Amino acid sequence: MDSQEHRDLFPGALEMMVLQTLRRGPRHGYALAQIIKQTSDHLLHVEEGSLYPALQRMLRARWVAAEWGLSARNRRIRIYKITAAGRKQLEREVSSFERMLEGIARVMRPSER
Amino acid sequence: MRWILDMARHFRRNRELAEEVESHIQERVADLVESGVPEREARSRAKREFGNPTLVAEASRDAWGWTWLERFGQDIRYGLRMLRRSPGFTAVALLSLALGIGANTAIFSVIDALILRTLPVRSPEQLVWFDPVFSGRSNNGIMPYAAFLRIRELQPFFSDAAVILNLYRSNVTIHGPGGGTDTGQIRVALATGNYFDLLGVKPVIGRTFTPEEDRALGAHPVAVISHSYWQRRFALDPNAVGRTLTLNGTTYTVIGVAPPGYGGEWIGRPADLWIPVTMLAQVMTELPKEPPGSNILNRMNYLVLARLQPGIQPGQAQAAAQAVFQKFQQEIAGPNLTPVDVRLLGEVRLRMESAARGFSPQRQSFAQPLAVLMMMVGAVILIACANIANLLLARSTARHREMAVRLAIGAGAARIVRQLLTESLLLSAIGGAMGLLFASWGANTLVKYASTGPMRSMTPSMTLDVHPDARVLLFTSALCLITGILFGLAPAFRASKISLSPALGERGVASGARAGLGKLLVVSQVALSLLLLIGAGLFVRTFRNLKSQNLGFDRAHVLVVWIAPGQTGRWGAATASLYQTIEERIGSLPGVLAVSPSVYGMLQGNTNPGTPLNIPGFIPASNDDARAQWSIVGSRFFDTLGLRLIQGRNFTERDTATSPQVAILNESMAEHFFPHENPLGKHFESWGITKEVIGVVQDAKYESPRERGQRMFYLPYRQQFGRLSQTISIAVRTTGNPLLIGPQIRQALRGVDPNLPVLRFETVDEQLDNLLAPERMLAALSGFFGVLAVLLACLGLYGVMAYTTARRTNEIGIRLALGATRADVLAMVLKESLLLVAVGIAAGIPVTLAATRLVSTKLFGVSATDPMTIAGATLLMITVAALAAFLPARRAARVDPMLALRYE
Repeated sequence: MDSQEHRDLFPGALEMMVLQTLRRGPRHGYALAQIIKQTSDHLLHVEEGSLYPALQRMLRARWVAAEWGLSARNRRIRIYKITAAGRKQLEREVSSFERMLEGIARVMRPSER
Repeated sequence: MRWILDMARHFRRNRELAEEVESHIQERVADLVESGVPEREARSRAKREFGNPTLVAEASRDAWGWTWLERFGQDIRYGLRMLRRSPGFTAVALLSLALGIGANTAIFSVIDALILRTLPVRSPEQLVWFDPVFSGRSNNGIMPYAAFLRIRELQPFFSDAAVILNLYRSNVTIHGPGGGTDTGQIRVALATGNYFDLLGVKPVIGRTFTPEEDRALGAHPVAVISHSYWQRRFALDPNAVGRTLTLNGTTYTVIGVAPPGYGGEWIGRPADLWIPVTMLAQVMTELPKEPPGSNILNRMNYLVLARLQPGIQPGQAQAAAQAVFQKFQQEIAGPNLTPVDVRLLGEVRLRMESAARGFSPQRQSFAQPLAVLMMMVGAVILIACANIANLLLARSTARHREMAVRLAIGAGAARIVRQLLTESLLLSAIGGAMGLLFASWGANTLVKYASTGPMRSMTPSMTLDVHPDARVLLFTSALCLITGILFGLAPAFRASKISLSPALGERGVASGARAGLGKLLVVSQVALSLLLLIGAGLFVRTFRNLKSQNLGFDRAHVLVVWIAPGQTGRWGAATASLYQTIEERIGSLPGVLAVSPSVYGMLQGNTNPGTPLNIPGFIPASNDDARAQWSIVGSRFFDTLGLRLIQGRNFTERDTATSPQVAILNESMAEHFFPHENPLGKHFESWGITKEVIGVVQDAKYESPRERGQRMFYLPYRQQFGRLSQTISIAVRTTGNPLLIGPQIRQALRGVDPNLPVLRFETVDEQLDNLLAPERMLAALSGFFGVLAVLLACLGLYGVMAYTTARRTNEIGIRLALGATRADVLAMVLKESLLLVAVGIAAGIPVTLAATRLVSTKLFGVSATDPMTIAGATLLMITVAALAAFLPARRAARVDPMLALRYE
């Protein structure tokens, strides 16, 4: 039941949220997961683990870069930051997302035109 | 090299990801503990929130690609573990695969060596050999030296041409360390000086011939030895070049060693020595001396090899060579032609054959038997595949839960199929590797069946070098792949379609469909193995019929001694007087009833139609109509073989070189040429000399037990000096076991002439074995594969019945509890098994009838639909199947009803 309600929004949504979060500063994986969970007010519930395949994909696409650092608890951890290519990708994604939202909105509320 | 770097990177990524995931969970646990959650709960919550780390790891790896290799490795490790876990299954599967793949590889490697492999020479596709065809009949690829010289002139078509004359010789003595006299025969190839250059064969040490060796007759006593001869007789002596050997009184210097694997162009008859053809008179001391001014090379016929000019159409080259050859034949025929001569000349052709795969009359004898065997072993491997598929199906039911669990934890159906296919391929790969070992043994055994004893150039038996080459390995790998997929696919798809809920329950539900597929497999196994068994029965009976065919003469007490008087330098009258001395010496040995020379021996498999005859008043209906076989014998030949003279008189000592030539005909010849009249006193002409018929003798089988009504005439050796050939047989009729008298005969011959080569002693049965080598091979191997197929099919039947009865333990328990007797249960299970067998037989017999018709020309004395063979094979099949079914049936009958009912 649970999994039915909180399914992934659409392909690329997770990536967009990660890039958006990283634009505000470098984060490690755990922190990213917590921030996304909190900012989306638990509405976009993703299994924390599913973040990592997405991060690997973004590493491969060079939208993010990673280096090893230390967490607040002094634990060795990988810290991600957004790259120039990542910023561009985010802009593209956001604009296409907004166009899509706009489209959906027109369909859903045709009276407001 | 790049992939190593990629792999290193890949492993580092995996390690880092694992560390990252671990940190993530630790951080979460720490956060939760700080917020007051007890540590144990924090841990499980962190894990729950994270999700499935294995899936995460896999998905992350997917992001980078490169996971197939790793997954493949994982599948293999897992597959090996599964195979180790059920050693019984693994052993049975591997054994049947090793036998199946091994048998296929063995047959294929013989086919490869005899038929497919190209000669190890430069651009073999340009090489051709010529076969003169007279009246539609092949001359076995030999032609006169003068004709060769004309073909060599055709420079625009052929860049070069060489002649080769392959002979068996004895009397070879090697000088120097480890030398000595060769006891057996060796294969000597006489060749022109350009032979090795034409082929592009380079020596491993020393040199090969040069055109210099063609310069003068008798002036080039040099020899190139084969690599195998170097190994056998020179112990790979690195200083072999420069050593000497003596052959028939002439000493030759070894000038080089041919490369390993090169045994000349004649596949099945590897050469040991190559000697320049200009040494012909020294090698063939049996040839008469040439008058001055004539070339002794014209005395023999040769195989002619030529290399096509690049870019020349073979058709054009053939037409040019044929025109030259026809002109040559017209010239030697001379101006005074009879109408028959004109017609025969008009029918002269010269075929041009590719020599890329060498030259081999043996290939024709064995091609069809090998093709039949290839199909048989193909059927054997299908049966083996069906068996393993059956075992896998039974196991897949046992692994039902395992598969369901794997599906439930998120493995995709494709992943399961891949895993199971990997296991199957792993099985077939291991089985194939074992099969290769079995194959090298099998191929050598097979070749032994093909070479039953001493050789003569044109008999089918042969020496063949089989070693797995790239083509064989490719064949075996492809076979492993195909079999693996064949037997693995059905169980794999079955497994991927498991529905989860019932499977995850306490036990899987018996699947009726599985048993159905298994039964279908058993039925087809029975059908296929019945086909093989009947085929084997037909081939075994053919061989036995041929072996026991009435030859028309008494075979039990005849010894055939082969000698080579020509190699002592005698010819003509001297040879005839040697024959006479031999007749007297052997004839006076105790235990010898009669003795006679016979220039061609008997049962040599010779298929030529004999010599053309001129008979006054006889008008031939076809080309072969005026031909007959001939033999030159002594006066006691008919006594020796036990042939009865029907009419007229035998040869006597008064039939001499100076008296009129006489001949004795066999019944078929007398009947053919002189029907309804008395043949005695009639005349016929052969080789331009008229002969008078003085007697008629019983028919016999002369060349092969298959022949029928062969026309034959005999001539006395005292009148035929010019036709006494280099190697002859002496037939000896003995009172006891003919082989026992061998040593005395050898001693007597040594007394006649210590230099007379005695080649071999053979009984008529041994001669027949040599002649029937292909039939013998087919009978022995098809019998083996037939039995193997039946055993495999019965193993399959046993497996299915054991499985289904075990499944029905409960039902059987109820039956017993309700009053069925154990005999009833036994009968029930047996009936079910035999029903399967009956369906298999019903399906197999029509298939068999269609298939055996294809080989009906290979059969002898038994029809392709022989009811006795079919009934016998069917009975054997049923008996063995009943035994296989009896074990599960007995187990079922012993079920304890109480235990069986509680079991549920």
